[in-house]
Amino acid sequence: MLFDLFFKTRKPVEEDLPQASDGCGSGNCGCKKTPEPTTAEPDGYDMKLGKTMNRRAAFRQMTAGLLAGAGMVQASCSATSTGDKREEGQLKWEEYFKKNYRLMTDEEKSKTVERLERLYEINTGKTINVSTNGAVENVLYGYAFNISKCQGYMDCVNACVKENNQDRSSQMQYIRIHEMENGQLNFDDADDNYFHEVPAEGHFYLGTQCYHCENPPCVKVCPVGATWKEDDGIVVIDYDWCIGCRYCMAACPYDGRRFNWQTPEVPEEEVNHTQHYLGNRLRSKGVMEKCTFCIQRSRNGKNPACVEACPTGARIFGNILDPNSEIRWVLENKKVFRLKEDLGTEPKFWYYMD
Amino acid sequence: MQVFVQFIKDGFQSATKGNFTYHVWMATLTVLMLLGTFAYYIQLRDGLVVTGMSDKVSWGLYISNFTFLVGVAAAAVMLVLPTYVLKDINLKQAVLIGEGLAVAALIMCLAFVTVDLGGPARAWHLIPKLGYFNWPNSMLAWDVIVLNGYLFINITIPLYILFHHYQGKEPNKNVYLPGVLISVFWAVGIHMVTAFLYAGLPARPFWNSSLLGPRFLASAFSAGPALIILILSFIRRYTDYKIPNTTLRKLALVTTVAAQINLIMLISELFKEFYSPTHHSQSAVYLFFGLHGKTGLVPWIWSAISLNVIATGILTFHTLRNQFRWLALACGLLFVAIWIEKGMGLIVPGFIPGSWGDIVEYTPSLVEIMVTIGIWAMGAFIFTLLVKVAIPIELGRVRFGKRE
Amino acid sequence: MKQLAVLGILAVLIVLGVKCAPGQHDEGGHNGSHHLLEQLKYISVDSLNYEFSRFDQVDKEKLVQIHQLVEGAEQFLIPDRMAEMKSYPCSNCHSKSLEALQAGKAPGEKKSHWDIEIVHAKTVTMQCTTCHDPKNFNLLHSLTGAPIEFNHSYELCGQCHSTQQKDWLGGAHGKQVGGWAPPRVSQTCTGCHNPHKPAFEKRLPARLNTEWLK
Ligand code: SF4
Ligand code: SF4
Repeated sequence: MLFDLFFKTRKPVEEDLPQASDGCGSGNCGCKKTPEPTTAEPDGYDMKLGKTMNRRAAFRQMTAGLLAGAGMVQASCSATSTGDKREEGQLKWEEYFKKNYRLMTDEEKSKTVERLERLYEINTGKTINVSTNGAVENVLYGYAFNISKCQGYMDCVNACVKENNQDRSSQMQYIRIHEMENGQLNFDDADDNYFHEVPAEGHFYLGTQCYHCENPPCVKVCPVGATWKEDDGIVVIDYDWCIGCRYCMAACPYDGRRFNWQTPEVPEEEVNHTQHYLGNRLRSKGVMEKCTFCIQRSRNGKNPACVEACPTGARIFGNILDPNSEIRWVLENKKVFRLKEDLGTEPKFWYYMD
Repeated sequence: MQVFVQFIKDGFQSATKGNFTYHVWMATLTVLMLLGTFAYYIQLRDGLVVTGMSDKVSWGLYISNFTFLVGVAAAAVMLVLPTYVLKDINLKQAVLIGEGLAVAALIMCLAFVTVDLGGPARAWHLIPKLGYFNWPNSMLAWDVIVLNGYLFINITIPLYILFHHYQGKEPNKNVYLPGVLISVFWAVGIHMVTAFLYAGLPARPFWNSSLLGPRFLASAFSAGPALIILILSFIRRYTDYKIPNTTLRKLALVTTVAAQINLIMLISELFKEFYSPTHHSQSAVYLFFGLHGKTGLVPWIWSAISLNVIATGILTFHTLRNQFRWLALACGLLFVAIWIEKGMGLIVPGFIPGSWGDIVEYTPSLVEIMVTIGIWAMGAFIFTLLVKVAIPIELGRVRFGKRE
Repeated sequence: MKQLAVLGILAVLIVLGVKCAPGQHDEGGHNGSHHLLEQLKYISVDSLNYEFSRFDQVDKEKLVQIHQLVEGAEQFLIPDRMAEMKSYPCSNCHSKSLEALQAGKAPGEKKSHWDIEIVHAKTVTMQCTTCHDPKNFNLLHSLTGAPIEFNHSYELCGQCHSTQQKDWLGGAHGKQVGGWAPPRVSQTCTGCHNPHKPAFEKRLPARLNTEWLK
């Protein structure tokens, strides 16, 4: 309500500062006016005034006006900047004001994807492909991990890091393999930091990662709804919406989440260019990320990278709604268990033994 | 309107005038704030990696201070309730100083949350309608509402009273009393909501206790009034603002009772954790005795507990409590004890051991400490300003149309 | 007056509390108090029309259908091993029968496959001809002498390893190939296990752990 009032009274004022929304302020920065865009859609720079604006557009324009003088849009203003630089500034500006992914229309989704792809091209000269594929109907993904089979080779970890463009400098890993002594399932004495020949005598190995809880506590606590459960049961994060409060990290009982404490670095030649908006696209500093069951793969019928990389077949993935799937057979015929079941999180990640 | 402009101007005047000590004090705070800003700049540039936090201990000094200050903010106003019910104390003084403290504490709270964010530039996502506000599911969303609402209440009430006094009018009790009452309940609200923020996480058994909310309140009602006693003693010593002994005595009583209740709750928690320790007691074991040779928090918590016990002991004996020197000492000790207990002693052990039993310790980094000091300096700065403006008005020295 | 105000505020708080209490704001629709597996029993999915299949990932031509069909699954495919083996058929080299080979060996002449060491059960239980057909090197054979093609080694292995075979047929054992969508494609026994030395080998992990690299 308050905001409605606010914008209603502000709107006429907007007409007094036409260049403000241009991002270039009073022209003392010496850059040319943004050329007339070729696209039909108005953006933050060429928004025609007097048009009916929605609340977001008004906010965007107002902020542009307010901040233009403060040099916030320097990137698009500096006298030395090339066309690319200016375009980059523009795109980033647009990206900054986009919506939560869940609220985007299909058109808005394809717009942001276009921007992301273009930004990558400007910065690296290479092309990426960011998918926005939705959940496949009648699918609920589930995962089973055979603790008799896992030998602790950690091929899955390597594959995951590569597939999901995880930060190389902090060596982020979604998967942890815990080496446990036979005869107890005791994490306190487990070693998730081993480096010796495996399998070690008298030990077994158990892998953990995000369990894609059916009742995910991490989703409940996010103040901005930046993380949610998709219809196919995958718990995802909108990396551009996350404000980095890390409440979800505190709420996850399974150490499933990873935070970008610094700007993630992936050498260009190692970047996986096949990406998904909610999956392995490149993240920035200060946002949360985690395993997405390789959403960019699983939604195309492929197995997650860890399943594919495991040399022992200890990892089984599939649609638990399909009565003929392997995963369903495991759940119905093997003695399966989950960790910390008492918390009621209903992980879709089961363990079993031969 | 013109009156209001003049009000602001006069307020500014009295805030900038002061003796040498005052200027030194403000200058020191400014320097600390600048240092904090510089540290924050480094944190913005390089990311939160410059703090001591990690994936294992993902909240640290910032959130600890936030939690503690919510208590201070809540308690600052809570002392209005007893004063109001007991009716024998000058209510307005307590209201004004208390609410000034609440404002400063709340601004610090919001600052601490902001510096803890990984993407402060995206904080607008929290604005309902513009962003996506996960309410009522997320307790953090609740916290945003209650903190901002509380800030609003605590700015408007003193402003209303001061503005009337400034014009030499008597503020209308029917206008501000409901506000005061609401803010009293709201104070309980902010503290309970903040406690629920932690208590609602089954992932962290150390926090997941129904006693957490009440314990937050008890510790806040001892730390908050303790701070106010210190401040009031200071004010009455160095300004002409008259604060009767009874005010301090009543506050001391509140502090005492709250400290005693807090101690009882502490004992009941300790009993539960150590009489029949379960796997969920691991954090408490780590906190009090250390686990697997890691003992980072042990000295902290034991000093907090000893300070707490000593302070509560002093307060319990009337003879000691009625001597203002002892009272000030006890209040100081209590304040420090609860700061440790609510901060390093509550937030950090919640993460240790981690989800899979791994013990990664946490020590705040220099940047973190500098930012924290900067924010405390900012709080002190704001509070000093508020008091500096309020006291001359209350004393009748500054009035509309009259200048000394 | 004052009491009324207090009561009013309390009422508001209670209403708010109740409003947010149940926490039933789930998105998925698969939720509730029931155990997930319990719920699966009641969910019937009638149409599973994926736009993809495992044939997108693996060449259909390089797969063969197994002999025993799993109940319910129309197809269960495994890699065509005979097409993969470098020197198949074996009779290209081994044209004589085993007896003839053993009889005509010159002193000091090395046996064929002299480098293969069998680390698979004890020698009282198993030797080369337990699996290989001594009369036709192109085939394996069962304990009772029935011929088994190299592609269908699971029939052979399953004679002893019946639990594993059952798990394999069901889907708990054996690596999934080509994704998760139908039809079933799995590694066969010999895709992962060396039949002469079936246990997985000890080796260093594929990478160092994060902590190690610091
Ligand atoms: S494992 Fe953790 S991060 Fe993953 S869905 Fe569950 S609570 Fe969320
Ligand atoms: S860190 Fe990001 S995803 Fe997690 S709760 Fe905060 S805003 Fe939500």
